[in-house]
Amino acid sequence: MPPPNTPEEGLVATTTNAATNTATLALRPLMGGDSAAAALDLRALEYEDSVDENLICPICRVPFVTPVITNCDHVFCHKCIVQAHALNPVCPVDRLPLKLVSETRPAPKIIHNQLDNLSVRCPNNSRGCTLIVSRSLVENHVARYCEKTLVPCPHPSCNKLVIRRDIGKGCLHYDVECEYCEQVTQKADLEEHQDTECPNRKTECELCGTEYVRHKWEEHSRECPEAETSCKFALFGCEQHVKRRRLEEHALRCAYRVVGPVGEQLAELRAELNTLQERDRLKDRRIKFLENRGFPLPTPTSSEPISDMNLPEGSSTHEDTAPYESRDQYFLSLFEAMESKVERLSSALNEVEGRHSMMLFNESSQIKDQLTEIRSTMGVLGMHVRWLMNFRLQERGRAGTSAPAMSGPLSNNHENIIDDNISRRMIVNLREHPPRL
Amino acid sequence: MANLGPRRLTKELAKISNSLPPGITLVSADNLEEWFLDIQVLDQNPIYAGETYRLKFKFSTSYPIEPPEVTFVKLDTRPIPMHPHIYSNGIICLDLLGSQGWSPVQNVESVCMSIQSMLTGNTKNERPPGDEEFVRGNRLRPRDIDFYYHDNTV
Repeated sequence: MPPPNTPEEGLVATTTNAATNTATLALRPLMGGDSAAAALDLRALEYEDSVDENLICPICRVPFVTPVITNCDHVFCHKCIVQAHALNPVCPVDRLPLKLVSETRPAPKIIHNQLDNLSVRCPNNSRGCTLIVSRSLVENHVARYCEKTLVPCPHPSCNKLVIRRDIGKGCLHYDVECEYCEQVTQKADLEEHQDTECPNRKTECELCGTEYVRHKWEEHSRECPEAETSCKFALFGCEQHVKRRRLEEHALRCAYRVVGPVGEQLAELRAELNTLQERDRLKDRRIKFLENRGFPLPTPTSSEPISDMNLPEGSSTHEDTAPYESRDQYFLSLFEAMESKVERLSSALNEVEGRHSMMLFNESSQIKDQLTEIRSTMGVLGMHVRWLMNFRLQERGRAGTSAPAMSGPLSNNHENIIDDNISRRMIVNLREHPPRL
Repeated sequence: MANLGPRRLTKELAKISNSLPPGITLVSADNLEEWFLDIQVLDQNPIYAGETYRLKFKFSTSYPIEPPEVTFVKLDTRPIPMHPHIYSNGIICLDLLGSQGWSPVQNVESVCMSIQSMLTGNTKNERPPGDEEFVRGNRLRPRDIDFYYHDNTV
């Protein structure tokens, strides 16, 4: 008789409780997973290897869960010592009086680490998860990743559980009839039923005579020794189908067996050719790239930038010896070269700009000098004119006082015209022969 | 924690099914409530030489926090051993099996060995004082009896 409370059963029971508690909440996979993790009992785990006796709690006889150490240096699971202490306030090992609060503390880190490293089987192994993982990771695995963890059914009005793998298939809690034994079972449980329970689940293979689980016939047909399968030289033209167990035999006398190795070599060569072609293309691109770099810069003062260019080119020869491993690298180098080119261009531009501004400055200063010269000349001229005008006015005043009656408005006009003529002539004269001052 | 007891008993059973100290044999453990074991005294103590005694273990759901109930069982071939701490109805007066003397680190195997050594060390071929009266009057379960541990020599 099997023990009535095997670890699996215990776990299923606890997850069921936890899940029904959360069934009213939003039923996302992680929610269900969280409740399962909360219910995951580390004491129910199956350990892969035998565990060192020193890591086993003397009370519950399983590897420690949240171990605590007493002042008398004995280690127990926290839950165990709490329970034992409630009955008898002594250390269970040496029976010395023990104060639970002040005389126990969490066990040293090294014990926790050793416990964390223990390999355990996924608690869903009864549902088919074969994972073996260290104990510290098993909760996370069950809560988030294990495909076989029971989580609440995605259907809002269904409060049953379903394994996580089937969560995307909608509610599977409807009755179906097993196609082999006509027993009615829920869709969600059908696979398990056909795996382990159905009385007609096993059938004999018509070809090889071995028993296999019916709904796994696909798997069986892939390995059945009597099933017909194509020759391994089918790729090279062999059209014969032979039974799997005769495959080796056939291969030995297959007409294409001579072609086979050649074909394999051919495929290898083809693959090699492909890689070579790819490499060749890469080289081509690089050569083009290098050629493009040799172009002179379109600047009028070409001698200096070209001498500049020798520098990066010299440094790039080093790059060239190293083959470009990937296209990205190639583009990266291209980009770098472009960048340096832009830099050189901008520096050349700066230089040209400076030169231009110097030139401009030189020219304009000359012009400025001339301008001031002209201005001073103008001033001198103005002085001359004013002096002459004054002189003339004085002369006219003298003549006006000598013969005022004779001179009428007409004569006055005449005088003015003459006066104007003189001054105009003077100006013209001055303009033609500027005085050297 | 209700699961602790059955789980630990499962482990203990797995262990003692494989190996037990000399003189102790597992007779039956059909469930996780009641087990039977046979013990023999292996040295040349004339009181127990050649005899085999049967022990009955009864586990509560609180085991191993609470002690199991351990008594000798009388069968045709399995007498109750003569000992100043063992009553003729099979009840054993042993502090280890009382709530004060018990420790959860004890197990079936260690209890058997304790009883074995208790017999081995005994030299008095007699029952406890007041045995007849006790056997006649007692209706209590062993764990509820307030034993007076009068003799600390064994």
